[in-house]
Amino acid sequence: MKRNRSMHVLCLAAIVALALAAAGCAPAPTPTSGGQATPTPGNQATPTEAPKELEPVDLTWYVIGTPQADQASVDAAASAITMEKIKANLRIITFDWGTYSDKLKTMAATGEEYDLCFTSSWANEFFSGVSKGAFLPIDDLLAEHGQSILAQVPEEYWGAATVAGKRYAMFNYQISVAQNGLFVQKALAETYGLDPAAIRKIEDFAPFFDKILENEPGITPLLTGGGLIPLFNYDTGYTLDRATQSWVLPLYIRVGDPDFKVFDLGQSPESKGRNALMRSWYNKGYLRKDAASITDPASESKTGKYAAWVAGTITPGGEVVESARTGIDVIAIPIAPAYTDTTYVIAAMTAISRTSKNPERAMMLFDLMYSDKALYNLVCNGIEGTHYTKIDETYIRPIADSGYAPTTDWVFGGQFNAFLKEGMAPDTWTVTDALNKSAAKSPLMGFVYNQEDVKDKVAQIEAILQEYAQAMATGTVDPDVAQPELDAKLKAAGLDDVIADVQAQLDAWRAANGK
Amino acid sequence: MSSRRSGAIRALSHVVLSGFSILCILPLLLILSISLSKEMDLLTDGYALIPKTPTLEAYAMVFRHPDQLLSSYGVTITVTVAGTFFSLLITSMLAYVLSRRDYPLARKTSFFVFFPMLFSGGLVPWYILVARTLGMRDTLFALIVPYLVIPWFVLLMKGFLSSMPASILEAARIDGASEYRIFFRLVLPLNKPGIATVALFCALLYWNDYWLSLLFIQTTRTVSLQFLLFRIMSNIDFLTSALAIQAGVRTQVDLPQQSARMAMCILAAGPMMFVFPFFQKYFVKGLIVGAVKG
Amino acid sequence: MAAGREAQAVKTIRTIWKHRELVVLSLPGVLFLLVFSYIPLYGIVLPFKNFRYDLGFWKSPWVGFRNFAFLFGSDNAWRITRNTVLLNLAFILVMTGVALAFALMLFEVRRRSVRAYQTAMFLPYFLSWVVVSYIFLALLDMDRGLANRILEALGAEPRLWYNDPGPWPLLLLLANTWKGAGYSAIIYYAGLMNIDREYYEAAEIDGATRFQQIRKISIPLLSPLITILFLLAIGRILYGNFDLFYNLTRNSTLLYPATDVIDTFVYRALRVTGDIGMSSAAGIYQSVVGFFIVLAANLVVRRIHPENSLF
Repeated sequence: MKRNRSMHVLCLAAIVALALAAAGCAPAPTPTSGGQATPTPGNQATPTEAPKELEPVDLTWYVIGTPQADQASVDAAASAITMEKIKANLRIITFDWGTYSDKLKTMAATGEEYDLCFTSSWANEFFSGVSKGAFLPIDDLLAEHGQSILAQVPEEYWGAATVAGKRYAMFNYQISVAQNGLFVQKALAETYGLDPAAIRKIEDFAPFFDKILENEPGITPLLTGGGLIPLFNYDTGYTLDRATQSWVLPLYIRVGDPDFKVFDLGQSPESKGRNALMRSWYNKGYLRKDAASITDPASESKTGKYAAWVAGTITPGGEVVESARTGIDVIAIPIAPAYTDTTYVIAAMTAISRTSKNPERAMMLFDLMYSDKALYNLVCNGIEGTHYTKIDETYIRPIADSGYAPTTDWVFGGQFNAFLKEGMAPDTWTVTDALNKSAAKSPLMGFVYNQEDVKDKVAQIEAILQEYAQAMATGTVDPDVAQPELDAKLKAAGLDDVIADVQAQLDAWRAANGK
Repeated sequence: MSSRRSGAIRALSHVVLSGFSILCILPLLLILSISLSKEMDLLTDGYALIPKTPTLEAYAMVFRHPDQLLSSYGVTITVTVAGTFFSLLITSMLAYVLSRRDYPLARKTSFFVFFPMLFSGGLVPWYILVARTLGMRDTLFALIVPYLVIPWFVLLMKGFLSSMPASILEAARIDGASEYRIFFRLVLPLNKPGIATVALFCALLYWNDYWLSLLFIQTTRTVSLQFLLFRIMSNIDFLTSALAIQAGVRTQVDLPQQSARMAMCILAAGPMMFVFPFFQKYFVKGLIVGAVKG
Repeated sequence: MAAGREAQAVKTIRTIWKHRELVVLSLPGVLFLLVFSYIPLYGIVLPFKNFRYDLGFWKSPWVGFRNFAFLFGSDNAWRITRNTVLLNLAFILVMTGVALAFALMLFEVRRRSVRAYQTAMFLPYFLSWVVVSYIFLALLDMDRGLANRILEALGAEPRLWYNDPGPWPLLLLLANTWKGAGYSAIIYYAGLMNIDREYYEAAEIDGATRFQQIRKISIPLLSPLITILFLLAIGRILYGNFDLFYNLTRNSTLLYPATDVIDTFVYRALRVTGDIGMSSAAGIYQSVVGFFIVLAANLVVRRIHPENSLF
């Protein structure tokens, strides 16, 4: 990968001979022996019903997050529980955000033995892992040992984890709904009479932004940007639906279209209207002149120099979290109804590695994360008294600098079993669960686009869009000039071929699923 | 000497060289200045060569939980010292043998050493060897052993050792000294500049490496300084990327402040700067010898 | 024949026995290379396979040259080869020129100042590329970087440095020269120190100017050294400095047209697509071309200065 010598593979017939001879002396480098030797679940079904008869085993579980200083003591405490219930020692290893995907891919490629790992649409990418054979199919294991998981995860989600008829990962059940909206400084909203209930769409903010421009020098009405903004981020209003799992590919269908016709979002009236609106806002001064160059809006919003900023997604209790994070009192104002699609559903999952020696036990462990609240909260929050103090049965207060505070409940299992932190509404989890179940569901739920055949074209298209997306979404460039440019480049990069490919796969999926 | 120097050329030389020297130092001062700035000043006004409100806050913050930093210093120093020592030993032994023109296998062995500079089996088998077959994953060995013999260093050292007059070795052999004795008592002491040069390269390689850590290190106690820095940078890049923002991860993690990041840089790069002047004398002398013999 | 071979073998064993002490001295290094460089060579099969994690090395299906077709079928191959070769060529030429100029200048000033300049010019060489990438960020950050603040102060539009590939070949060239020039200059300076003083004294007596001395004595006498270093660098022209191209550009996708080189492409292919077969194919392409260039370079070196040939 990095240094030349590690990647500069080989050559020449003469060397092949040498290489093969050398490999013959190598201590049996067969990376997949673990995977091949995996017994079928049925063979070991009987002993698992009586935990006493199980052989003790070690389970290794890789998760994404911030490595914790006190991991060893938490592992020990958790192992005490898992040893008693499923005869397993637990070892959790956390890799940093930036290195997790790299490490997991290297480990999968080299056949490292481990049992469980975090996978998702955005880290240790799920569908690529499945297509390369990194994960074990789990249907039998799930039926046998995953009853608590099945009980909590909504039935219709499972389609999103299914590839070619087999399920490849368990869900970490959490909020899986997207609702676009803005965070607005509470003080400013009150001063200028912004009524959250009256906001239906993003255009409704204009009078409020005008007042800010007029009366609050030094404050920019709207902060947007940061990495990439899809051309159509703010209020799909759920009339359009992404046809692929890529955040970048502009391929959508119209919800309710009986033909499921895939089209380029840039050509839709909605997108053109949105770009024109952002351009006029940019010209009016609602956005910073250099809006397209903002790289870290999360830090930027802390400065208090913006009246409102784009919320990735609005969640129950999100206002409290955002206020605490920025140190500014904010209110969250949705501008579109909540909806859910494959990408949101698979945002947090856990897979069993192909190389796991004890897949049944791995499944039992993950099921325990759903059924054993004490174990789950131990892993999420640490040891009571050392890492957090209990306020009552549902609320806890983390102890500052205690050496264990991953703050990522959603990598360890079903988040709705987690203790609440101070300030969160007591019904946070029931509200979220209800929201998940009531939100509009994508008609494409369970359709997974496989870009294997056109992956070089997809890569080019994504690179081109990254060049234009932020500039157009912030109104920094004139859409009348930029859009034709973008269209021409996308056409040259083979967008039509990709559309045809998506359409063909989508039609096949519809035929197979009777949609 | 001075008579043959023309005033105009010398003045020009001074101007250009001091200009470049300043260019070399300036960016470091910028980093230092940022590390000494107040975070809010950086957020509102951007970076400057002179801090608006000088403060040690960033350093105080880095040292508030010194455990990780101190343990990383420990890892980096151990790896650098042990790695440089063993690497030098093995490299110079091998290089000495290659430099012996009367050794019939010298040319074959040279090719054997040179060949891996061009061809390798790629990352995957190498990773399997180090991590699994040799079981070095998550140990300090994984940070030391893979760099013990760098073919380029062997050839460099061979260049230095070739410059030794054959008559000295001949004389020692006539006195009945064994090859080991000749090597340790004669060859090594006579080649201090060359050894210092290769030592500096080795030390730099070990000190600045994050690649082995990225591959083989899993737990916090074996994280080296450079890897600590690399992780911060890669976390920032990842968490501010479109993917992470849209997955809603970014807001759940507090990244180190800008001033703290730069303070870490100063702390990671600093020690090498202090060590260099001690090496410098030998280093330049070593290069002079090396330059003649390649 | 067989007898001859046997005699040959006996002779070899005798030679080894005679030099057993030298063999022992070389053994640790040789064994190390055998284990760490030669055994992993079995990875050579990868470019010809559709590598699946669950099937592993030997069981993954053979796909012949499909991985290469993938690489050369897109316009990637041309882009990364062009970038690698052109950028490296620029690096080598500029580095040689600048370092040589610095060395000649160092030769003009007093020893005491030489030491001070050396120390300063050497500083960048000591920084890891990770640290250098922090420095670049401090200079080029879109919101807060020094470069944009200076542009603003001058009334110019701030630039989106990490979005615009235009200036990057130049920026990379600057970074590379900045980091390595001090080091290379010292090598050439060392070469100058080895030139016999008598040449200069004789030239002085003949009334040659300083500039003439540089042209007629310094540069010709340095030329073997220049040639060797130059050719060695040429031999590695397909190998980008990964750290330079990856860390400094912060892997910004918008810069790819100007900064994507073979090494970063291979890394990305492995990381993003997880496609080991494809990235190994790129690696083999690099190795083969690099191998022939090195062979050619070595041949030339052997002609010019046989002692300095690599093998």
